[in-house]
Amino acid sequence: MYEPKNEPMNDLASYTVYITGIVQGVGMRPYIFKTAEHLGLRGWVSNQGSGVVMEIAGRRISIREFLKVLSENPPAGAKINRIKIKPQCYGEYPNFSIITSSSNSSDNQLPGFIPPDTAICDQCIKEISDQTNRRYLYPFTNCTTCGPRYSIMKTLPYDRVNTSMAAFEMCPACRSEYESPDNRRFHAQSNCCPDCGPKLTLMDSKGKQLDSGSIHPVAAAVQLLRDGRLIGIKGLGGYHIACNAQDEKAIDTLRKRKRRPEKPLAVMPASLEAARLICRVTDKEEETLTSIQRPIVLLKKRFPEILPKNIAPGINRLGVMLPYTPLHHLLFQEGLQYLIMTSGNVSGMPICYQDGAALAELRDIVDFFLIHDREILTPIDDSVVRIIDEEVMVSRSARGYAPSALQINSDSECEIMAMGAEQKSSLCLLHQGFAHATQYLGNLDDMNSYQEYLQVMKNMQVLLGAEPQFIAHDLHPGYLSTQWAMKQSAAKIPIQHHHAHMAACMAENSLTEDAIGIIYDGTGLGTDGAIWGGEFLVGSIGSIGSKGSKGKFARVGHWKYVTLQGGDSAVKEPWKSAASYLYAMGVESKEYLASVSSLKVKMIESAISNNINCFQSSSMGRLFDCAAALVMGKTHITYDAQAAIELENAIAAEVTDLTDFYPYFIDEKIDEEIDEKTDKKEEKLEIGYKEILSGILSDIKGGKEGKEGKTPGYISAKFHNTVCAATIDCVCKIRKKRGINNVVLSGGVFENTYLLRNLKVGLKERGFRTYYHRKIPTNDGGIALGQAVAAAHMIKE
Amino acid sequence: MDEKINLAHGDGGVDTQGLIRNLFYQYFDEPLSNSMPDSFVFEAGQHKLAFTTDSFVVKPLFFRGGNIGKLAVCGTINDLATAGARPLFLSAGFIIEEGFSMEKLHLIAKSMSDICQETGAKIVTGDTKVVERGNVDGLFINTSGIGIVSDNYHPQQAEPGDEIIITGGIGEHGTSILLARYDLGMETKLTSDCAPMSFLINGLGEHLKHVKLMKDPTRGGIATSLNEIAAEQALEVELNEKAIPVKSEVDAIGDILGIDPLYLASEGRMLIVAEKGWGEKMLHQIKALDYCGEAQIIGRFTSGHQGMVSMKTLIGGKRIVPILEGQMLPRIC
Ligand SMILES: [Fe+3]
Ligand SMILES: [Mg+2]
Ligand SMILES: [Zn+2]
Ligand SMILES: [Zn+2]
Repeated sequence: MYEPKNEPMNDLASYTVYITGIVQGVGMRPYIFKTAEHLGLRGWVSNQGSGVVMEIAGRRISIREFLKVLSENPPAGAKINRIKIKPQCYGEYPNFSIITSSSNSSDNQLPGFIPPDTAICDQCIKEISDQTNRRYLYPFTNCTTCGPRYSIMKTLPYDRVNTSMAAFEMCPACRSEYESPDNRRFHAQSNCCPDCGPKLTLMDSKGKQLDSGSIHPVAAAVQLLRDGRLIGIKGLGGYHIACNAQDEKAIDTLRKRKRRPEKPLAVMPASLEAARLICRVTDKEEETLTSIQRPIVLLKKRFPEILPKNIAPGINRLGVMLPYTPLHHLLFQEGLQYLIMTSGNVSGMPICYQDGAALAELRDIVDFFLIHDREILTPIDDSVVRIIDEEVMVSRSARGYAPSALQINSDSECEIMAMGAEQKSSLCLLHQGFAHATQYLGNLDDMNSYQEYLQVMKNMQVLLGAEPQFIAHDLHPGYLSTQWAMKQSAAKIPIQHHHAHMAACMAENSLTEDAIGIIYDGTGLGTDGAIWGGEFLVGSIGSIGSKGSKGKFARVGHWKYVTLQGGDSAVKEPWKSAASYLYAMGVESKEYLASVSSLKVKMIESAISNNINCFQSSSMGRLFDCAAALVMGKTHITYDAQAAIELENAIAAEVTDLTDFYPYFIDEKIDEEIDEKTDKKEEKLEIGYKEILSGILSDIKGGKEGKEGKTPGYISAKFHNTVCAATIDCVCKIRKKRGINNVVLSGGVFENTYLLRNLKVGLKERGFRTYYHRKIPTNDGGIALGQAVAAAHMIKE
Repeated sequence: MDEKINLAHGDGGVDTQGLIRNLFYQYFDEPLSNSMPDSFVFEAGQHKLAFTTDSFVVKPLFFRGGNIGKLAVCGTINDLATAGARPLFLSAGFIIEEGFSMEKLHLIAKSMSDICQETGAKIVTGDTKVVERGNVDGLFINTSGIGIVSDNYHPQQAEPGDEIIITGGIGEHGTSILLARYDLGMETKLTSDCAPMSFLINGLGEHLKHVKLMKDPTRGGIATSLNEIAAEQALEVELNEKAIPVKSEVDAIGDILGIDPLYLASEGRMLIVAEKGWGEKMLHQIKALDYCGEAQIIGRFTSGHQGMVSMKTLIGGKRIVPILEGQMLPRIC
């Protein structure tokens, strides 16, 4: 904070003030205007780049008061990162004014921040429910504090001309709101009303406009939803497919047409009260559900379920989000209480957002479309979060959360574009000391996702005025992100997958000391050509890629390698993982994989013995798949991580405080590689799976023989406990040798709440300081950030 | 650093390309075009001739639908065919392991002769070496060939809208080799598609004028061949999954082993790029030819410039069919 020193306070002075952070699209300029007028200050304020710049003139004491108010009480939604002030010669200004933004990037020395989209505010909700208000029932109502931002932006600064609202000219009433400092729509860039703003259209599945006569399209849509029809609804960041969530048949139709047999569907209840009837909602969960980000929150279902079971079969959580646009609020009429709101896409493809493409791609899925003419420029999915121990953990970072900017403890001036992984892809642009992480961009092997990914990469550079000289990417040569990187002329920095996971978590937690990383996930290419995923790494964020060892980090332990057959197909068919593990143990699979044809099992075994399409793997994800196949009979899955999710779910059904675990062994081996730091051959710990799986097999047999307590829930809990116990044991051994007390947890497997919670507790009991993800996804969605940060540190050295 | 040759240097992928570019081109003349073609075409008097060579180290030597000898002759003939050439003369070099069965050698030589008879090619020169036991695995064969290029064939730059034909089911050779090499406990009637493709040159008749290029999808399957074509032509290829002929056995075995048939080799198939609008007519003609009853139009060129191959899937998505870099490493997390 600036403190003018030893200067007479009644003097007149002028300053140029730069404010950076999330300061556009949050009502910052009107707020500054009002505050300045109140204090009798003169000058002007303007958006510049993605920041705010002003000249302020008046009595020194008033300026001081002004800056204090600004830094201590900024408008809600604003996140001021820095206030920079520069004294000027005193200048006379007639008044205080808001002037046209400067978009000249050459005079833009401010680091950029992109304002995310926010949910409709309470005042706007009041207006659309008030029969006497001119915005009664108007589905595009918004104000300076709420509404679309990132999704409708072409470029910074955030001004109407730079958004898709430029197509709509404000009517006199709206313009006068926009221009009067006392109005809460003063300089609201997407201000509009029924007279001048976007309009809704209801169409049939062929895109033919329906004449609903005098009936409001929303009212007509509500009737169709009540009749069990599926509607493609254009929303804030893309299309949703909606149907009545109390209508089992409609949901069934949606599943069939979308070819999505089991994956849980998101539910939008009319209100918080309605949400409480279907799920348990803690205080923290309530706070999150009603936050301006309005994400999908994974809540515990209430039993007996009042909504049809086919919404989220086989699991005891439900993805719930509250209405976040005026249109959503208007849909809950005539007794509608719950809607299914699932992304409007063809299975595996990104969310539809352009009207032409949406109408073409969704026509075989929906019966009707409810669309509008406000163009979406950047598609963005709903975010997904869960609350663990009173903390929000973002699992899919998208609407409301992204793009996010994280300040990086690195004085490096370089600009880096980090490419992320392959699935749950995202990008991260390191620019002027901030890591800007994009929204979730889906799986890159889909052509539309891939194109979108390249588009977002371009947009980020334009929006922030960045020209990255470095590209950070994964080691995997088959990732499309890597293949793209390889074709570029910029300097390339490869970052090992689990190294990136660890760096992401350390950056998120601003952890600069040495730490032990426990990285548990599905698939990541290791430096030895094997598929890693059950790793113990050691390093500090500044030295993970330290002294001459370019990108090397110490891998001090891992789960023992198993020969896994089947490549990517093993992920979709967990029985293949089970067959591979059992083969390695010399156990006949047939008995335990009774539902799989014995011919197939034999072929896999023969393929393993002949090394056809086999690889070495320490993946924790595949160990969970194996356990799920054996314990739950989950041989095939239809959505991401389904087997592991159902295995975790089985615990809650029966056992809650079981502490039993299976015997396990940790081998202490001398590594073949020479440690580059110490020039010695280091010891490496290997956790075995054989003893653990043998324990599971004998419990499964026991269960079959009718022995008490050997239920899937019991075995699953015991398996989870074993993984925890072995992990903690291994970390303790590492601490003993290296004296490191910080533990970093990252990787997709930590989406498993039971595992995360128990590890946190266990590590705390043993005196470890434990760090894990909250804002940055623990899954591959966090890889880009980790790559950017790790690369920045490597460049520095 | 003493770098060593490893198996990846021979799999036809990036490492092979690297070896050729970074090592062989240091010493040999660079090829006249910027990529080493399957066949080298040159003029001799009135005629255009094509010249090619290939070595065969297949394991096992005998498989359902063929043997190493048939493969060696077909392989070279097919490489000539991609240049629009009918084979004239072949050479055959044999490297034989001490102790190799004379009877097997008879069978191998006979099937080489059968293909020659069928196609009019003549083996006119050759070489035989026997090495000590253990120095080769049974038998290796090298063949070279010279063919005469049809006057009707004028390869051209592909354009958006040009159609892509495959002359039959994909991956049948690769799958047959898997089945023959390993005891997978699976009984099938599947045979290798190994066959000579030279009859296409006459068989296409006047239509050959509308063929823009041809490629035999051997190592790495149609996925690899099409990625190479897309990159060379600086265009994109969009396949249609529904149209790609895959025998149910190939599909089933690929499914169990987790191997995508798009990456499995054929030894008797041709990818033909037909000028926009000519695909259907050409297909009609091709289907009547030997070995080509299952021919299909499987995709077309589109206007992107990233050299990528994608495939409209059965469920309506558009999946990228990437280049396989080295081994088929799992990507899904
Ligand atoms: Fe990962
Ligand atoms: Mg060849
Ligand atoms: Zn509002
Ligand atoms: Zn208006």
